[in-house]
Amino acid sequence: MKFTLRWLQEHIAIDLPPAQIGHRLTMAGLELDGLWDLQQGDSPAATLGHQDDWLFDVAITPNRGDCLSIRGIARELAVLTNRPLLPLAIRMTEEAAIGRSHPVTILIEDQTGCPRYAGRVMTGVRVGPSPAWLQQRLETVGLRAINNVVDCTNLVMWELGQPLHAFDWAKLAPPVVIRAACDGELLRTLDGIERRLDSEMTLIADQARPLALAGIMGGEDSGVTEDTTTIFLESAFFHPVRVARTGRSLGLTSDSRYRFERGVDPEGLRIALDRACHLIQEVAGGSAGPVQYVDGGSWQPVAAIPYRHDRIVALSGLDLGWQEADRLLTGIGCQPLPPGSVTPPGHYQPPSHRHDLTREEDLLEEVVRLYGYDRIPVSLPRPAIEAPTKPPLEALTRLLRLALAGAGYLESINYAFVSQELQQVFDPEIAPLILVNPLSAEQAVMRTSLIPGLVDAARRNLSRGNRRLRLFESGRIFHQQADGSIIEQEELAGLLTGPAHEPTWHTPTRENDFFDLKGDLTGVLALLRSGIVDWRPGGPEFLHPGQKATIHIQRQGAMLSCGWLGRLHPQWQERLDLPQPIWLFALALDWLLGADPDPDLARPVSRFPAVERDFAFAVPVAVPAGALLAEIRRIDPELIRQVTLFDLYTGVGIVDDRKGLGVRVLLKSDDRTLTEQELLTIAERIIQTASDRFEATLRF
Amino acid sequence: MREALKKLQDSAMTAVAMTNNLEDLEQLRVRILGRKGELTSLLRGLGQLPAVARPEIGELANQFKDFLQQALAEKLQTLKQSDMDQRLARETVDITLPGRERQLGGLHPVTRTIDRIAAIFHDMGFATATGPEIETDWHNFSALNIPPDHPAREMHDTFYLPSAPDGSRRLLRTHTSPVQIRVMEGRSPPLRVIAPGKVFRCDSDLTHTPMFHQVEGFMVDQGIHFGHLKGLLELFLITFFERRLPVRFRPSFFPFTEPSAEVDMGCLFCDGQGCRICKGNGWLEVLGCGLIHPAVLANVGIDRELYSGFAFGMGVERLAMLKLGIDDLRHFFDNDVRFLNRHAGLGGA
Repeated sequence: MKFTLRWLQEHIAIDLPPAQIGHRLTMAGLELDGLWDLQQGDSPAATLGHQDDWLFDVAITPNRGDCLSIRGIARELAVLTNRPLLPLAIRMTEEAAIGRSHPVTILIEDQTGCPRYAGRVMTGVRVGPSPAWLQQRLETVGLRAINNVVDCTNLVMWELGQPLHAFDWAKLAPPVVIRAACDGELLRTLDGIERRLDSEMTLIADQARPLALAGIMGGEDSGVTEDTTTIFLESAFFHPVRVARTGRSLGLTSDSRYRFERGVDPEGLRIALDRACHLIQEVAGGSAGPVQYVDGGSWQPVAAIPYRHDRIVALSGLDLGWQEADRLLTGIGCQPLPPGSVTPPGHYQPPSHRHDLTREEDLLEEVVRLYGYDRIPVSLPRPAIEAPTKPPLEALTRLLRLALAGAGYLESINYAFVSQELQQVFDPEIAPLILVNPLSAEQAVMRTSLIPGLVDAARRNLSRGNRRLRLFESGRIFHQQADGSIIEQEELAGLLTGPAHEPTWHTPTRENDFFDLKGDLTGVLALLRSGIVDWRPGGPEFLHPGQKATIHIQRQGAMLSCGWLGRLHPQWQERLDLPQPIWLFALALDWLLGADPDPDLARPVSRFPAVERDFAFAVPVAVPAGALLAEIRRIDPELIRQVTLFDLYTGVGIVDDRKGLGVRVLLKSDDRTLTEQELLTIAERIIQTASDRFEATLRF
Repeated sequence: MREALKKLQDSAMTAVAMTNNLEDLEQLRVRILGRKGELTSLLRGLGQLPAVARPEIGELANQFKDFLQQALAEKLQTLKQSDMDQRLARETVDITLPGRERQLGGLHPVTRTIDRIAAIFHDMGFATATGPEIETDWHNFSALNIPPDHPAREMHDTFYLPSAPDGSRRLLRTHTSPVQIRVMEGRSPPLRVIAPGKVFRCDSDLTHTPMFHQVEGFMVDQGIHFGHLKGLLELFLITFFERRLPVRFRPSFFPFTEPSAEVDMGCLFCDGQGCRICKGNGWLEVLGCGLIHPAVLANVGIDRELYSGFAFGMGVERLAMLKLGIDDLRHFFDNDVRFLNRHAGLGGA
């Protein structure tokens, strides 16, 4: 809401410096957005030349429709600064004869949409450009000058907050009817656009046709033009919700709509007409007829609000006498009931222009706001006595995030919506949730996995020459169930690509591969304290069939798949235009929660020495190393504590269809030192098992 | 014999001086002082001397022996030292060579900021709660006292999803305030809760991204008043920014709080003098808050005569930008590793 100091001073005798006025308004909830000295060249009104004036721009919150006018701002300042509000200048003449020569009947058919309607005819009006002062005044606050009559109605709207509309009497066939539109009825509004209306919208019409969209915009062919000499001025109170709905469904905004949907003063219709007549007679001449006023009675003024001063004190934390509160409330126009009491009044009747005051807390807010938030003493609530809870996934997510960060991964945060195309590349069998009103095709569907976002982030980075990437993200993914309900799941996913490390003087650089990612994940999953993690062949379609695995974890005794890892399939890589191989992983956090703890961790640390035994096996190439290691472990889980692979060998000294596996076995007992004989027996069983199950032979 | 002894001494001392390694020195010791050494064989002639001369020669021989042993010990020390010096020189590395670094990753600045905010409120006894990102109209709007045609809805540019099977409207939450409703629906006061999370608005330009993060917080108990809200948030801001900056509460409007306030903090960058970042007025808007609106309490069945509460909400990206000195909102979701590396860390921001 823009206004100038001089215009304001026509409504309130205020002599404070402009910055001070702005500060007072800001601290009362009308935030100053801008303040310009119009003698300087940098104001929004600079093109209008230098003016000896100041321009204010104040942000008005949606509850304060009463401040969308110069008069409203002046009212606030009057109580804030103890300055008197000045009477409104209205010097006009009214001729009863016009009522007889130009009779108007007003029929309100749509009582809900239009509780009150007032109108008056003015004859002998000379339409033309407005005088310079009027044009300048409007344009300074950002309005467009059109002609003297329309400019006067706009000036009154800005000044009093009551939107007015002027019809060309010659194009009107009374009576004036305020009715609901018919479904499909058409009206070409002032902006030249043909609007298709429905029965939820209110119209101003005459016998023949619709004339204006109530409270939002006039019709194109009933407005005032150069040829107009007689006008019908409308000043109405349209229902805020009706105007809001109509405006929204037509996508039509106007200064008029903005004010009606926030609520204009239902008692302010006549004074606005009179003020408009005063101005029109001053700049365009003419004679005014009597006001026709129809109140259908559908608008009930707000009931008196109960007031308990002790509650105001308790909720504000402010030690404030009731007389001071009373001064502030009456200052904004509230009437104490009963009046003139020597005790705190039991009720206040709010003024008609304050639609936002309906309950006790509204009065509380007014008192505190006008008294000043800064005068409320600071204190602290008493301490809590219960232990705060955290969502179960929070600790797990936090642990995994930190572990991945420690392993060199950078956390990224991608949009929760992706392009449908990319979603389908990765999850073609899942129908995503589609946004009704997306901003762009790139952000059209809810992600069904974190992978598209990560791959997109990788693509951006690679195109900027960031070749070495370790990224992860944790966030929600969205799946629609068969019954139409939506499940939001917490997922953790990541991406690895490029060299394992920057070239260094000590270690030759190499490209990352499957085992870099598997190693990172092994370390991270170890933090779950669950020793039972299994890597099995398999994984999504978009991964390289020879370099992918599903990750299984033991929960309540059963092995459950809780994620996967692998290399992006070369075909997908090509399709996504990625210049280098990419390794991906995803983990369903819900599934990780509650993994069974590693039973080894429950044992006391043994004080007996551990013994290492190394075996050099040769097995057929197709034997999975993991299977051999697991089988050895199973031979005696009590004594065999760890089985690791320290060597993998093919080539010279071994036949073509076999590979060498160097296996190290760690043996330990909780209650004794193992004897040479025991060790020998176990070693024989290991060799026997390897031979029986995997055709393993010992190499020397 | 005295001359022979003197001669041996001279040649031995010369030999010690000439020796430059430990092995030669040992050989020298054996050659002269050993059981078959030159001194022993010289002293074998002692018996042929007159008895009166023997003590003198014996004394001389002992002196020579002590003298030589001393010289040998000193030489040994010197040689050992020089050996060690050589070894140390040999083993000296160029300490300016880079270390074998394990490159750390890090958390996103948004996560770090949320962690920092949460830690402060956890210390003040607040629990964390979460809620769905796809919300119902009721939780996101109506329960928060934003009826369908309220102009405040236009302040929230809402993303909509197809309706639920029961016909109810689904949307991406426009703020974290619905978590307030969900918690209050399920639990009774006293409550102290924060709710961090993603929120969505269909708006995208230099200063808006269609997704961003908020931390909602609220407290409901007996006797809560506006002074508590002021005290708690001032404490939070001082702790978060580690600076005792002026804080002001300015009346504002949110449908779900009354009285409502915007919280401004003295500009971090110009100490309130006015600069580009605070748009010249010396204040930075950092929070929105207020006492929980009685209509909201009624919607979740909390007796407003018995309990009162306050709620507050803050934009995580905004706080992160102020705290970490990030100047462009669009960096947050671009995920360029150069940006992430600069602002990543393991702890709270």
